[in-house]
Amino acid sequence: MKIGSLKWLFGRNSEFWPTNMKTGMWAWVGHRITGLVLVAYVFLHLSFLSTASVGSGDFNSLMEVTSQPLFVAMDFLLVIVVIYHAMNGARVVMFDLGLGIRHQKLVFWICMAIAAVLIVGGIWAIWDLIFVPSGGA
Amino acid sequence: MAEERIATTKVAGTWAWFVQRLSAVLLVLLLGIHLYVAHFMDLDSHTGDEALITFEDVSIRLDQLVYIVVDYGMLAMVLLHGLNGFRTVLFDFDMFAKRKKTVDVGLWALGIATLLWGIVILFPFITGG
Amino acid sequence: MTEGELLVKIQRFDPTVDRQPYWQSYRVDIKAGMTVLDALFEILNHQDGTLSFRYCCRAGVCGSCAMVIGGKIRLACETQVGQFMGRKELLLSPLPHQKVVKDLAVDYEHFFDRMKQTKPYLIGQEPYPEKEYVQTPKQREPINEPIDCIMCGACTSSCTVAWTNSEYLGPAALMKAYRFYADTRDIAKDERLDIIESENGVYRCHTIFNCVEVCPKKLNPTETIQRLKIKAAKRRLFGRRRRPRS
Repeated sequence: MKIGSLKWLFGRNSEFWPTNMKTGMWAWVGHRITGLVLVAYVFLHLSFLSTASVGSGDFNSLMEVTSQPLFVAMDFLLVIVVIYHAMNGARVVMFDLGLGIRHQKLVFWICMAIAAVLIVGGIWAIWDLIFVPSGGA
Repeated sequence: MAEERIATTKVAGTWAWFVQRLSAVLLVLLLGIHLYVAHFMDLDSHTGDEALITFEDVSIRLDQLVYIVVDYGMLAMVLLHGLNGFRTVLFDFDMFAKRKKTVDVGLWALGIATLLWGIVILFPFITGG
Repeated sequence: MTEGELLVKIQRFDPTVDRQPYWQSYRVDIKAGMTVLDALFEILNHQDGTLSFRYCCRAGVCGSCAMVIGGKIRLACETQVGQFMGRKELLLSPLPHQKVVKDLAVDYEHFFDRMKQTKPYLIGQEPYPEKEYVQTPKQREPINEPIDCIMCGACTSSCTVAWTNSEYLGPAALMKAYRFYADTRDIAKDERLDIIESENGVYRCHTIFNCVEVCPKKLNPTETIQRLKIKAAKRRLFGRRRRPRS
């Protein structure tokens, strides 16, 4: 019989328990979660714009709303999520080209180092837009 | 049964995999352009508040065909990459892998409907309100 | 510190009696050089005769005793139990996501079913040679690694995709497919690519590398899957199909 209860599937001795998870597993779980978040974001982005595309007054007031601190925080998160997904995606594409498979952990950390630089750079770039304050979704 | 299923997923498997990689590379480029255009480029300098995007900003930008192409291309690529990725997630589970056709038809319908919705959203900006 | 008493917790489950698995604790006297398999025998012989586990060669060759030892899939016969003395307990459970026969023994039927789908045998050029197929060391090189697979099931059990998608061939079967694909004596290249080239074949691999982490023989199933993926994609997208073997 296959064991189906969550306690055993995700328990202390399973590959999902945080201390048991290895580099590649973290990368994959992260890629999955950020990917699903981004798909959800696309639909959120479109529905936000659709409520405001009827006239100029609506759109401009939406842009005012999206410069609120809550949305600013969301923008920060979005930058991190997009850059992580892109850099880990670059790693996956590398493996698909047959490069660096034997050094997958090193490749992961190099990609994450580049991602960290891009995230800092990205946040620095949108800092003014966010804390002036104004901005957009 | 198993062999039959392998045969039907062969061609789709290769293309789904290839398109995912291709659209990923294109998306990185398009996303860069999209963000730069939406937040940093200033086509119209006399609107006052530099950072805040206004309806007029977008309207002026979308007077040029190239930006319409960029925006719609971005949307198409995002939907292709996003929904194809979602398909991969679904097919990792027996529940959906058994209903391959239904999932495929559903995702195509969702993708095309969303693309049309997105195209319509930009109409007021293009026509100028 | 390799000697002393260690608390060993074993995931017990008898499908004919129990509805849910449960942890059972044993205190085992650890001596220097003792393997996990030795510890299991210690329990079986002196503490609990109802404990079930599978083993055969005791030397890391047969691949019967793969199980989760301290959060990672290893071979019980090749794992020194002394290395866990620093921990407050050692958890032992059967290969994850497989049918449990009893306690630590799992059913390998589904595993070998998927293995069989890849035609894990040499398809040679006729007429077959009188004595043997001659291979130079250089020709043997691509299969030097994958040929060492002992089919213990560690990689396929550790693969989260093989868990949720039961049709996915899994790392062990795909590496077996590569072992024959890369063999210079084998002529059924297209046929082999036909089998592994599908959504439930190479394209279900998301390069999670769990299989590489757990392989007790230090093989690299992910690399072989990626090589097959590249071959299959090239053939499908740019290539011309060679005539099938008649």
